[in-house]
Amino acid sequence: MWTWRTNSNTAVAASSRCCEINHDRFMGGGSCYVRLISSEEVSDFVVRPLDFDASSSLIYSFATYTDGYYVDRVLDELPGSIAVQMSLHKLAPLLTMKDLTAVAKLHSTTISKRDSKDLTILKLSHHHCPICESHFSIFVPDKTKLQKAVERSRAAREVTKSKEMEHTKAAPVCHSSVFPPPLPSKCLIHDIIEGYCKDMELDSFQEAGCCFCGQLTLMRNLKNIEDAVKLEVLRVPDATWKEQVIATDPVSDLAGPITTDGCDKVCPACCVHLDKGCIPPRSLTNFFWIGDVPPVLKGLTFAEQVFIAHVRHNHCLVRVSSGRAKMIANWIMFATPAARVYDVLPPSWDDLSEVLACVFIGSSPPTEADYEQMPMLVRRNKVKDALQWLKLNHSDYADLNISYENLESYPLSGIPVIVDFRKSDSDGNKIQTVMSKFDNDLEEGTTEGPCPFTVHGLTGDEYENMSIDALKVPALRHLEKGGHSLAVGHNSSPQSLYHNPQLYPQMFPWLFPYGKGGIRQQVHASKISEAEHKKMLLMYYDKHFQTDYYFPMIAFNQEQIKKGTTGSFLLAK
Amino acid sequence: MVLDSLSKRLSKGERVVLETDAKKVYYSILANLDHIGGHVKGSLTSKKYMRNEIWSLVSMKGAPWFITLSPANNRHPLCIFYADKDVSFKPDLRTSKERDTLVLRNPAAAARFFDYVVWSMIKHVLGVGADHNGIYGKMSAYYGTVEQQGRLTLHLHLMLWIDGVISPQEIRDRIMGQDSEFQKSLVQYLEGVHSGELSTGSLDDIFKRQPTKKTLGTGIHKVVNPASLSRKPSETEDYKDPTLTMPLAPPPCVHKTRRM
Repeated sequence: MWTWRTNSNTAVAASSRCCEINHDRFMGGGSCYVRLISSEEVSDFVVRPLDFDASSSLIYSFATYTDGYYVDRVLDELPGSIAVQMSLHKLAPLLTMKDLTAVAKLHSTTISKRDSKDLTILKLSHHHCPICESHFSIFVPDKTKLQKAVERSRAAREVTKSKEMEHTKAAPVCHSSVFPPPLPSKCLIHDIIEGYCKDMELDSFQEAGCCFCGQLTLMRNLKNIEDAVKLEVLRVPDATWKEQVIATDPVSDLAGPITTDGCDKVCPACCVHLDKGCIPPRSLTNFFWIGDVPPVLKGLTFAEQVFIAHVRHNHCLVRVSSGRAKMIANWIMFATPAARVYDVLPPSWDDLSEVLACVFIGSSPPTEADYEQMPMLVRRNKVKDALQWLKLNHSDYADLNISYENLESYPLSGIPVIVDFRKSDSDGNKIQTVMSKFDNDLEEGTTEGPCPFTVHGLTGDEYENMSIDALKVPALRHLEKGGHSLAVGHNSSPQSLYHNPQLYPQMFPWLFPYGKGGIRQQVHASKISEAEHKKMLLMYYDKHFQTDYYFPMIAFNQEQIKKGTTGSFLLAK
Repeated sequence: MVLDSLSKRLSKGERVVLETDAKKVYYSILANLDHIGGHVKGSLTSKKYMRNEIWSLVSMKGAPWFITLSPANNRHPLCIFYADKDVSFKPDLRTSKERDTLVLRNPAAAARFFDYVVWSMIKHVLGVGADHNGIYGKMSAYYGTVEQQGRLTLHLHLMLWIDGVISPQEIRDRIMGQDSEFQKSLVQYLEGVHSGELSTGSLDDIFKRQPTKKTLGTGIHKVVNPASLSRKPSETEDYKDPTLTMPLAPPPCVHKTRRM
């Protein structure tokens, strides 16, 4: 769709010097209102062309209003157009409001934007000035609505036809190519090697973190921060937490704009928003801030992690002999038993022995070396430091009581649980009869590194009313059947997978040290999906989410479970 | 009872007619299970859906080629870089144990490396989205699925369809029909794309260039390898295992100018 009307403003305004003609075509959008004028309406006033045939049933529309000096030139450029000299009171009713305003401006008549069309026409009809004599209106031939509609549909038909033609043309080409194809030439092989080597150049994979969103980005795309003033938008209260070293330290946010430590460049996505002066949607400011992991929370063994986590999950991974982990069960997580462990961390030696029991299966009793390989190793001071730090800084640990008495009862470094030994006939730790058909490994486990173990769920309530000896009975009965090697107590109701933003910070306090930046927060609703957020965490610049043993797998498994739940929920509906 | 006989017949690949109500109930259960599992990544149903897609492609495009790709993530410097926390790439060689632990600790890095290598393979070797043909000819479609192997590294099974492929029956007819021209070109093609070669010389040449180990055996007593004595020390020390380093681009192609 294109009309002269869009340009009539400029044409009118510039008419005293030259008529600007712009041939830009406009794509898309609706058509603007065009007042169609029959040849009879203007036939009495036509000045050019001289041989104008009034009886022809042509339709015209207003194009421009121009000085007599330029009339010939404009007429040449617009084929079939006519020049008309009519007084303003006759011309005005033929124009649209937009053209009226432009014409009135040229005649130095003041028209307010609020004036109605009738009032404007009235004002112009009573106007007279030298310009009225020297200016001409140019009308171009137009088409009736019906003609336009017919043309449009014809054009549309042609487009589909040409597309079909392309399609049918492409198909025979496919069959005409020779089979078998020619051998790869030396040139082609060279091209392939060259292209691959180019992909393997430092430039195409070297990456670093963006200082606002913390995402790993290709280094060549990162930009320097040009304007430090713009960073002022990145101050948002409550998004961060200043580390408290001792309890008397004041509670405050981090000073200054929220950025990552050690990164000094911006990724293109953040840069676009920052240039506009708004907060980048993925920046840490938008409650994605996690904070640096303090040294006290690094390098914890499995048992130590059990001690400090608020919410624990089952043991759903197992290491295979190559050292990799694979998923053997769906994930479920429970708060640690409320009565014993939750309020007071760490649990006392007696309590712990009741909720944690370790059973060896094998053909010989465990040796000292075996103990060292166990993930049950607990270093007392490590736990103490971690808990103290979390109480000060993690949002979910504020109401925690640390029992120093209980801690003192632990050995400085050792296994704070009762170790049972059960002789098994087979060499592997898997019972032949319960092995799955798809399970081809002889043994679950590893020869090096932390040893795998399986968690069998007995709920906290059951534990509360049982003595250790009574506990051993169901445990051993279970072992007779299945051969699982560890039981850890937990709360009787599992934690919700849905709308639980503090779930991950409670489960992985060593990944979310300040309890901030949880998944599925209220502020992120309908802004970022859970899967997208997990992807962001995995691409966090210091890679501590990537290197965690459980996080990537559990995050993925949660997606699986939720998808399955959604499917069954819809079915049940 | 009904379920038993159904599963037996289905596993044998026999045709099952749903004539009784009980069978219909079981089939509706199966359909419901599919509905639940269809969106779950890695579930049996999602695998089934992928198979269906492949069947559709086969019926549309004809017979596919089948290739498998298994990038060695514990040897490639790119994977080591992704797994490590260093920001800048260092071309240092590491011991195999060091490499293994790095990659094992970071499954996300291994997955990213796999993705990177597979996409560059599809682009360059298959010629999809590149300005040249693939090594197997002009591609018309490909379908790749990712699988984990015993040690839980990823590998790719890829079906690819070459432009202008004729049906297996037609190939058979032309081979049996004494079409000597066709037979010759087919054998040439198959030999050409199924070959392992090195651009810098034959395998023996490469072996000759590789320095021999200074010592033999892995026990307590190390025996000096007599072959290593004949070489200068500098030759053996500067040598870097090419399977552990980034590829070096070949010199610009001389044919290119001629081709243009």
